[in-house]
Amino acid sequence: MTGHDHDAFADLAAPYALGVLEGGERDAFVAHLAACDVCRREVASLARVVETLPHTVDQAPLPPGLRARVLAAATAPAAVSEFKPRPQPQPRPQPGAPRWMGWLAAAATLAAVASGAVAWNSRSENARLRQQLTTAQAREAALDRQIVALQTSAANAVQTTAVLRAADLGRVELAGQTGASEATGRILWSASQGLVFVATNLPPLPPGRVYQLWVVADKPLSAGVVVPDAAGHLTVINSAPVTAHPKAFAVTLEPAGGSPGPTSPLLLVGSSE
Amino acid sequence: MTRTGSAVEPHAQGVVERMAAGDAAALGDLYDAHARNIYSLALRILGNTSDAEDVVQDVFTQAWRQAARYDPRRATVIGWLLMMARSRSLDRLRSRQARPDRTIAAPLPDLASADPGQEAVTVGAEDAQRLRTALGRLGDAARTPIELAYYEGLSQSAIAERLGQPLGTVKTRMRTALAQLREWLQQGEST
Repeated sequence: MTGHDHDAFADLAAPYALGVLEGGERDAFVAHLAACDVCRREVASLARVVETLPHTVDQAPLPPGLRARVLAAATAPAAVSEFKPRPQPQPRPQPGAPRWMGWLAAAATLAAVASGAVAWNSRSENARLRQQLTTAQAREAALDRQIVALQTSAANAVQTTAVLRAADLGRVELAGQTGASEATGRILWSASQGLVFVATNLPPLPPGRVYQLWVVADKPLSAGVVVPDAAGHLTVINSAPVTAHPKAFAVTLEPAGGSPGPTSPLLLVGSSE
Repeated sequence: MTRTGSAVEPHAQGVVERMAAGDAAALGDLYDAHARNIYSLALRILGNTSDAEDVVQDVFTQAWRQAARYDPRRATVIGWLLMMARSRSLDRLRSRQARPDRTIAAPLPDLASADPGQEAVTVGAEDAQRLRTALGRLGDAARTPIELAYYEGLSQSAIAERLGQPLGTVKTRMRTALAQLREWLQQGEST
């Protein structure tokens, strides 16, 4: 490598090591790294600083009860615990009677203990009840999350049914292109009801990237960004009306958050004409 | 300061191997060894205990499922966990700010593989203390771009916008500050 090459890449090693180099700059730098020992060593030595950074954070005490909750959730069957949508600003579920009763009982007992009526052994009793309350709160939080996940799942099912019932239902098969030749996809779409898209066998995403689905009419319109699940499947369910005469549907690789228009070669394409 | 290679944490690797074999008790051992580090990093990024607890759950869930794919040549066990913790925390930070509409919540992406140029590095308590001291010496103007990149996941152009500085200034500051930290860490190593 000549000095000239390094001038072009000199500013990129630091943001690359910090994991914030994006788009074309990142691709170009990764390609350069494959050929350049000097830059690889530079990145490796800067990465040591970056990997030490999280060890400089002030250490916070772990919340009691977290261990049990985490271990239970982590080892639960995937079909259940994978129901874990991003936190969404949804209305809290209506509190049901059993939860309230549990709370009231725990709170009442705590109050009784705290009143000092039972002096002997109150400290250990108090600790035990606090532990119970913590466990109950953890369970409540887990149930809240499951309810939100189920609501999301139900809304998706309703939307899928609406598309399938549409009088103007159309179906397009998408074929994998260069860079994703094993991939296949399928879209069911309706101009009035939206679309349901599934795909499989797309290559694993590079860090900081997502797949983006496009409806191509006069120009490509984004129909959502998505990352594959653990099994490599992609799903997008979109209730936005589809343009009445789409020419094609396509999937590209884009920076996290998606792009206003495709910035990379098409990985999956299907013509609707 | 730092050592390359994997022989330095045979115990931790054994724990991950037991997890890969389906031993749930091993996950408890992993939690006891590293949960506090992970929780503290998530809390630093998210500033919210409830979100940080969710990140801890995400990380151990992912570690449990991907234990068989853990590669000790690429990252130490704690490095692997912290990488997941940072990534999950930044995802949450972004989804709070702008949420892509009408897209199914995505399960966890595969983080078992690392980027080119990275290799397993063991970070000791002395390294962390030296870096803490070095960060203090660095001064706010030099430190802030690094913190915004690491703890908020901001690109250089986003940092320039946030700080109201020219992009060129941010690039130069990030480069020189990271190189300065490296130099101070290496000085400490040789003493």
